[in-house]
Parts: sequence; C-alpha cells; structure tokens
Amino acid sequence: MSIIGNRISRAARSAPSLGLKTVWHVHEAEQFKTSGSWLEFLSHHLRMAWAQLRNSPINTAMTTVIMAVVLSLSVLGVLIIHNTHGLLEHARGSVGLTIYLGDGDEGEFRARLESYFKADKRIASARFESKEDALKTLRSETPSVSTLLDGLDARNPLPASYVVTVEEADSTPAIYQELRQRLQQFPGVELVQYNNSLLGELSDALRFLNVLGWVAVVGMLMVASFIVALTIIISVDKRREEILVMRLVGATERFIQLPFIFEGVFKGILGGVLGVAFAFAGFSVARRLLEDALPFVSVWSRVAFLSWSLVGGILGVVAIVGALASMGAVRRAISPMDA
Amino acid sequence: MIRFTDVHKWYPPQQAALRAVSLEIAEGEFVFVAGASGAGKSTMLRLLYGAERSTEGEVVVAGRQVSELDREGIASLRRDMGIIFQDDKLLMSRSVIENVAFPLEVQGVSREERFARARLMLEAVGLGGKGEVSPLTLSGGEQQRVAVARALVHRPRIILADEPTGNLDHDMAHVVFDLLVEANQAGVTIVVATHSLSIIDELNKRTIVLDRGSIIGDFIDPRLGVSNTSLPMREQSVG
Repeated sequence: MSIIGNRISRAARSAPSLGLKTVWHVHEAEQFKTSGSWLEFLSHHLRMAWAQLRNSPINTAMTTVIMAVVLSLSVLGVLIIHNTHGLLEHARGSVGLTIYLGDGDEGEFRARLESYFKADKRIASARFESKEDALKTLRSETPSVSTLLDGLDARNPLPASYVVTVEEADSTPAIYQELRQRLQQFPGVELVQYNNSLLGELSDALRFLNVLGWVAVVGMLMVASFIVALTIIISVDKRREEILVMRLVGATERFIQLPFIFEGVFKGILGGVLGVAFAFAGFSVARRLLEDALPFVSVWSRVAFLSWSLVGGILGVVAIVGALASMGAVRRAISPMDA
Repeated sequence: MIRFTDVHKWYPPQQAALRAVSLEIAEGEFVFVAGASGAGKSTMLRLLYGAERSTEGEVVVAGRQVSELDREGIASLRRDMGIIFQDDKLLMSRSVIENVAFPLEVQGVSREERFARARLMLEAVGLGGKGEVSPLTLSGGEQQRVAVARALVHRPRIILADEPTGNLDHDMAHVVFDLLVEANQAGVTIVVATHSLSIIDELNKRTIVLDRGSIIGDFIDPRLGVSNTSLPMREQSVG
C-alpha cells in the first residue's frame, strides 16, 4: 500500500480492495492479449454503429423515412431506365414489314410468299403468325379483357400475318418502301405495313425517359448522400464529449470514424430497403390504374419491376453512397475538435 | 522519460504561457508541478499529451518528440499514458465498468478481456460493487476514483493528472493520491499539476514550481527546501 493516507483511505473505500501491483500481476499472469482479431474489431464497430442508431430512435426513424422517399425516386429512375431499355429493344426487334393476308387459299399465298422470301437475299427473317396465334397474342397482351375475346374463338376476325425484317446492311427506309410495294402486288396480300416513323417517335420518347431516369437516379443519390452527411454531422456533435475522451485515451482516427461510417451505411441500406418497398407499392398501384384506364394498350405486360439482382445492386450502391457521404462528413466534423 | 528543452508557448496575440522551460523527469519519478492559476501548469501537461504544440523548443516524451507527431503518433503516445482531469471526464451514458474499460476498448481489446481487467481495477480503487451503475449515481470522490481506474487500467508508463483533487475534500483527495503513489511504486511515472500545498507537503515528492510560465523552483525535498537545480530557493506561495 501507499505511504500516506492509509487510515483515511481504508475508511473511504467501500469494499476490500486489491493492490494495483496485484491487479497488474493478475493481468500478466492471465496473459491477456493486447488486441482482438480483425473480425472482433469490425464487429465491435458494427455494434457501436447499430447502438448509435438505436440510441436515437426518432432521428433514425425520420432519417430512414426521408431517405426512403428520396431513394424511392431513385429506384423509380432505375425502373424507367430498365424498362425503356427493354421496350426499345422490343420495338427494334419488331420493326419491319407486317404483311397481312386476306381471305382465300392461305396455303397457296404462303407458298408464293415464302419462296420469294428465300430468293430475296436482303430478307433476314420472316416470321409467320396464324390467325389463332394472333388471337393468343392479343389475349396475353390484354389480360384484363381476355374474357371479352372468348367469343371470337369460333369466328376469329384477326388476319394471319408475316413479320419480315431485312439484313442490317439493307435496313434503310428506301429498301423497306421498295419491298413494301413489291409485296403488296402478291396475291392474297391485303395490307403491308411499315412502322418505321412510329419506331422513331417511340425511340425519341423512350430516350427522353431514359435521360429522365438517369437524372432521377443521380439527383436523388446526391440528395440521399447530403441527408446522410447531415445526420452524421448531428451524430458527431451529439457524441462530441465521447470523441474527446476517445482521443484522450489514445483512440486512432480510424477507431473514432468507423462507427460513423457504418452508421451511414446502415442508414443507406435501411432507406434503400424501404425506398424499394415504396417504389414497388407505387409501381403496382400505377400499373393497375393504367391497365384499368387503358386496357387495350399492350405495353403494360412488358413493363416489369426490378429483378432481385437489380434490387441488390441498388442496395449496394446506396450502401457505398452512405459510406462515402458519412466518411466525408465525419472527417470534416471531427477534425476541428480539440485534443 | 520526459524532457523539456527551452520550451516556449505563446497564445495569440502575445500571451506567454511558458517561457524557456527546460527540465527532465526520469522514468518512475513522482513529480508535482505547482504554481498559482495561470502559471502554466496545465499548458505544460497539454504539451506532454500532445493537445498543444510548443511555439519554440522541444518536448520529448518516452523517446518521442511530441511536436513532430501526427494524429496517429499522438494517439499512440496517449496509449502509453493515463490522463486524469479535475472534471473527471467520465461518459455518463456508459456504466462505470464501461468507462473504466474505455482505454482498452480503443486499443481493440476484446470485450470479455477488457471487462475482466476493468473489474479488477475497480476492486483496486475500492469500487468493486459499482461496476454496473451509472457514474451519475456516484459521489464526486467515487467518480474521481473511476477516472483514476480508467487512467490505470491499461498499465500506462506515465500518468498525467491536472488538479485531480481540485473538486474533492481533503479525505477524498488522500484516497486519490494514495492510488497515484501506489501506481508510482509499481514503476509508473507520475506528473501532477496542483496548487494544493498540503498534499505536496504530505507526500514530499519532487516539486517544480512555475510562475507566469517560468520555472522558479525545482525541489527534490520540498519539506527541507532542497533544490534540484541551480535556481535560488525561495519561499513561494503556490496556493
């Protein structure tokens, strides 16, 4: 024991105590490690970050909801990009000449046309769609009115048709016009349609939507990173005293910053998950309303929500955005601190 | 262990906190830094743990020149130290044992291990049964003992204490110094800034006296007035 204050300290101490030398001797005898593993380090900081979120439930809930609203707009952007790409590909794939056959000897009409398709080297493909196939396609593209089509099975008014595409090198409006005029002369051919101008307009509209999608994605991610940064600055300010003590006991900058960075990642992921849910709910409602309002527009069956892999990708991106935003914010917020 | 060589510290615009301070403290020494308020005691300690940089001169602690250390270097230096303040700087959102284990936590020691060590340290400071409570429920003296336990738990080489008993009554002050002396006997270098003459007198350890930023006395045996340097011995009120 010490050289002074024995009498007083004995009275002041509330419980029988060990001497410091004994305590340190026990530490040495126990051969305590000086540091844990990387995994322990990581899990410790993840726990700290999670605790930070739990200790400020109102802040966490508000941040998550605001992030979710912002990120749902970003998800909507991805949804637009994803679907416009698909629709554009579909439109490109279906461009060409549609040759509708009239009533009569369908076998003979087809034989003449198909021999011509084989002979003309400019023609890349010719896909036949029978009257029954046409009805099936109509049914699948307009499920909401499929029951109305049931009465047509006996007397199907839809014509059989060919969709003809030309080799890419010959894919010019002039060639299509020439082929159109030639095919129009064939017996049994009622109508030859060439919808290139529609494709052009559709492409322009889809391209515009695509740009709009990217603007939504990038813009909303920037807003999300700003929100994360702001909440991290508040979080740092709230823990100012603790950070000061951390520094005094020798915490490294990495040790101080990591929980805040993980907090940003958690906020990003939580907001992202909820944002995807919001976007899915909005998408489902909008699709149902549009299907009801415009039942004959076949495009709705081709508009799909994001795949699981895309959702995973979005969550990965928002996690990275959360990490980067909080990294920048925490560095700025703690660097002017004393000690 | 500690060396100041012609250290000056100025605060803008022209306020001198330390002037031409040179001293050496050997490993395992117990040293008081005494002086009136504003004499430069706290500045000296802040230079030692890297919270301030000297304007001129060299401060070397445990072989490291403090003014040349970056943030990571300062953190590493502080892991060799235990720092005690007048306001104990405990984290009220954490339990007593979590506060004591905090230096081990920042060093990456596993939870089980740091709590085992902290529990033993709380036993050593006489607070064995109070690990799970909040520091808010403790008296001032008990809180300061928690702060001492936190400063000692990682077995530092140096303890820096800035008026550690400033808020405590005489009896509690003795309890805290009792622990510091015990740590010193175990080989820890102790530097205590204080203006308490009674404690200096009772412990009779080497005492460096500052006045307006300059060393005016360095006594090996303050009771007998034996000086450590060529500075003239004089009666000095440091309270």
